Amino acid sequence: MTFLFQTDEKSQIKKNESFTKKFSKWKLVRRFVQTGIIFLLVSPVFGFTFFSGTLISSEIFGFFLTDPLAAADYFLAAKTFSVLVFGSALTVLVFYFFVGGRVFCSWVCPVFLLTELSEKLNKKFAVFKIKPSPNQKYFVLGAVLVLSFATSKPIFEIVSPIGFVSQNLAIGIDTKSKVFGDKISLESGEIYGNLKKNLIAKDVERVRFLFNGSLWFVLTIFLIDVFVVKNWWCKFTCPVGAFYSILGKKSPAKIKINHEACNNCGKCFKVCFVNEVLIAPVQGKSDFVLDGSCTNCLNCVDVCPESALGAGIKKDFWK
Amino acid sequence: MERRDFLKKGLATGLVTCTSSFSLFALLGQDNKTYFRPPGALPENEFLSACIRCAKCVQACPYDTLKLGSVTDGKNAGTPFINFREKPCYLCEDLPCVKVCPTDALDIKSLVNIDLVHIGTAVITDREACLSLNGIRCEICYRVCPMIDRAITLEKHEQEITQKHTVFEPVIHKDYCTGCGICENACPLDESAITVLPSQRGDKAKHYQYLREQVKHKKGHKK
Ligand code: SF4
Ligand code: SF4
Ligand code: SF4
Ligand code: SF4
Ligand code: SF4
Repeated sequence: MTFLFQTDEKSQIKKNESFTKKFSKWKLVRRFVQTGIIFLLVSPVFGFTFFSGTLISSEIFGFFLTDPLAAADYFLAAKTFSVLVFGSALTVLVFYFFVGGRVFCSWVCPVFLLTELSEKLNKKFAVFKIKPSPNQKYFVLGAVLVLSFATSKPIFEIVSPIGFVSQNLAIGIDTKSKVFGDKISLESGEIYGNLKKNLIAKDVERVRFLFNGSLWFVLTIFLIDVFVVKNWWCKFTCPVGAFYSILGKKSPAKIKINHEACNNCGKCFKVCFVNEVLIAPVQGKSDFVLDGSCTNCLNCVDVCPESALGAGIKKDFWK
Repeated sequence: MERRDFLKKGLATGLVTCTSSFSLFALLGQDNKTYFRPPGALPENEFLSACIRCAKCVQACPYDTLKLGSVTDGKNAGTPFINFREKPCYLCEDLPCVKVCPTDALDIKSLVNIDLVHIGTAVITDREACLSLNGIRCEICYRVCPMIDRAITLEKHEQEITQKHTVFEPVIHKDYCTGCGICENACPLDESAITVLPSQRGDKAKHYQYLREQVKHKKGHKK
């Protein structure tokens, strides 16, 4: 992308001026939200009741939420219709339509934290440098839907790293494991008559980690991300990301660019994990980042020395 | 430098292949294990289609009865199952696991009558080991059964060795057995002599059950 780096004096001076690192305000907010989501997922462990479930399906203050792709997989696999699943998926769909589809990725999904870590490690440890097409994820999405229908199984939910990570967060940590009298002794036979009433429960105060083998799968993805293809999962493969990309394309919440202020320094390209979406706006071809793959992570807004980029609303979003 | 590069590539390829082949084998691996589902689950195949692997049921179970399948469970990854020997299902009156299920994988209809739950059916699988069948007054499975005298009854026979004593044989009646596994969990033997097996409710079984009822009926008349 060398064509972007103008070598005229103006931008050269500006580049040197902004050598001091800008404070990443949005990144801080985003980290706060990401941590918050993780706390939300483990909150039932500590006895909070306002949230339960995982990122596939959950309940918050009595409202059901379901991942729209999981809902689609369910309808295709079980070949039934459920008002509850449809309604709870629609709630999520409408929300992400208005805040920008892949906001789920950069602000909510716990796998994205791993992706961001793998991105850093990939800089140092990349061994192979394979670059698939960013459109690959749409094929994966299509394949998932077709396979779900053909095999009558919600295919993506069986292997979803988003599911695995959130399942492990939700039930992997166990602070108050109730231990019932394991050994049945013959002498105390009388308690068995009315077992339900007489169950002796001991609350054992300890933290147990019961992380299950599914995290192997997550580790696999992480290692591929680090060694083989940078951002293999989130950029090229994840069907949830693909789904939200399609949704986000029409969303009104978009990154806006002020062409006059932009000096083509190219800094935004370095912090954006799907940086091809920035080519058109930086070249002056559009006023917004129109590609649905943009996650509205606001990294580019943080880094832009001219404050040319900002969160914006595209008023004629239906076009 | 070339050598280092080679080592690096080898190590990375090795790591990635190991973990990915582990996950792949685990996922595709044929498993003959029977998975016992929470109360109210649809028939196994329909259940696997309908369960979206949200783990809410596992989270909701107050007794930690439900376990969650992982990639090593192949297509059962992310689905709930019960290991009775570890923790049976206590059939909570309000069935929290069924209530939270967003799909109909755990069917809300089973809430109407908890006695109709059929997770499986208990069977005396080791007649040689069962203490009661050896003439010892164990009968723990009978006493712990929440459906006592309906799901398990004690039938009396003459004890053949002494010909003086009585054997109290626990007999399971599958129309009432909920498959909760409390009996399997309670059996004092190292390997439980009573085991919950998948319910078999085929036509033939019905036929013999009918015969049995007829015999009972006739006996009753004689008395
Ligand atoms: S691409 Fe998929 S895994 Fe990555 S952050 Fe988005 S939803 Fe999560
Ligand atoms: S364009 Fe900006 S907001 Fe969009 S993904 Fe890239 S860095 Fe994030
Ligand atoms: S009925 Fe109660 S004990 Fe049984 S699986 Fe459901 S929540 Fe657990
Ligand atoms: S609550 Fe229902 S959909 Fe979710 S894991 Fe349990 S059975 Fe499956
Ligand atoms: S599984 Fe055992 S304890 Fe449970 S109802 Fe059946 S016979 Fe009774």
